[in-house]
Amino acid sequence: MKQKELELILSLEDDLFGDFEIVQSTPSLYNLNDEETRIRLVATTDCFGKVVQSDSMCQGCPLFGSCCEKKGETSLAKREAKEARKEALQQASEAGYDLTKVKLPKSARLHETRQIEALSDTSCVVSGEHIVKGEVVYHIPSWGMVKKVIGDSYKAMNNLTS
Amino acid sequence: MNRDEVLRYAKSVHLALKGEALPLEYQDCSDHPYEGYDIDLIQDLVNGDLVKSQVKTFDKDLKVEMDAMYSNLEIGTPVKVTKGSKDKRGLEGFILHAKEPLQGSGKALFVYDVLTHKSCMVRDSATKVRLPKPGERSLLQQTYDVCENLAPHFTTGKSVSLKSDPNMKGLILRDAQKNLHLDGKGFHVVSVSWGVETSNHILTELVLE
Repeated sequence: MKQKELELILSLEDDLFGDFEIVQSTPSLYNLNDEETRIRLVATTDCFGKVVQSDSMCQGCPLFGSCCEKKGETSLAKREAKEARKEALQQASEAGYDLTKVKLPKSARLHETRQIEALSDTSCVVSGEHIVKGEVVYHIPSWGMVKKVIGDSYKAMNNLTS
Repeated sequence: MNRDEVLRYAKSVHLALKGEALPLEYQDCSDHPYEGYDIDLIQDLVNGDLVKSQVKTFDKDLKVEMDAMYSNLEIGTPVKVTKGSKDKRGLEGFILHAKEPLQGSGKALFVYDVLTHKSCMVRDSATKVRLPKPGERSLLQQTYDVCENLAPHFTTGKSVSLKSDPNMKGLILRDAQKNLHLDGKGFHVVSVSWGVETSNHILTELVLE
């Protein structure tokens, strides 16, 4: 008897709600398909791009999906920069320079690094080696002259992090 | 790297970059961390953080030295006049003489600005110590030396003109001598008649005709 009643209820529910699709994702007050709304929402969300997927607060956020996407991009860029740095350090190391222990002054303007042909003898600020007149070197403003290999390494690291 | 090493390196970097020597900003420069060479340029050529910290340390040490001099009101202490009439207030000079005042406590100071040739007598409480500008103290010493050398030539009756205004020509009324009110201190001065008026001048302000 009970079994029959249960089957009846189930078939009744199926008749009533069978055509509706049950929405699984978090309902949102905002229409995130509208670009302006999305931009405004992202701008007012300080934590955008710092999603923690297991966090229930994050899961309930309307920006959850795009936040995950953004975080993925950032971490990919970080990973790429790290790899480029590693590669640059490796190249310098092969040339005999250990740049891992070099303390870069905050004042050094790496982005303004200029390759020049030395017009006179000087020395490398990193290795202390002699730079002879006519040698192709780099000048890093607010730091000093560096050998070409060292300059190339710093440039490679800088290009990817800037 | 100490200051000398930083300067030496900056010179070599500038030469390697531009093919010419690092330009000198102040000649015969006293009280300058890098012997009168442009600090901003040095900061651009070599480790800027290091240059900044060395300049800071230099100024700090100079301040300690000046404070010690001022506490004894030593001759040659750079001071700024902070009180008094409009003419006196703001004058930045050196103490050339300190003596007991005719009235009241403290000391009476004769302050002379070696750059503008302005001078005044003030009470020590109307002054505060300051840092000398680059080259100012060497100019002060030069003024003493030049006055000493010129004094025998600035004699009564000779005609002179004013360096700042060469059209002003006058006659020396009395041989060069140290200011009588400064008890043998200060520079050699002469009294000059400019026709209708007479004024006293330090020898470095004048040119013998």
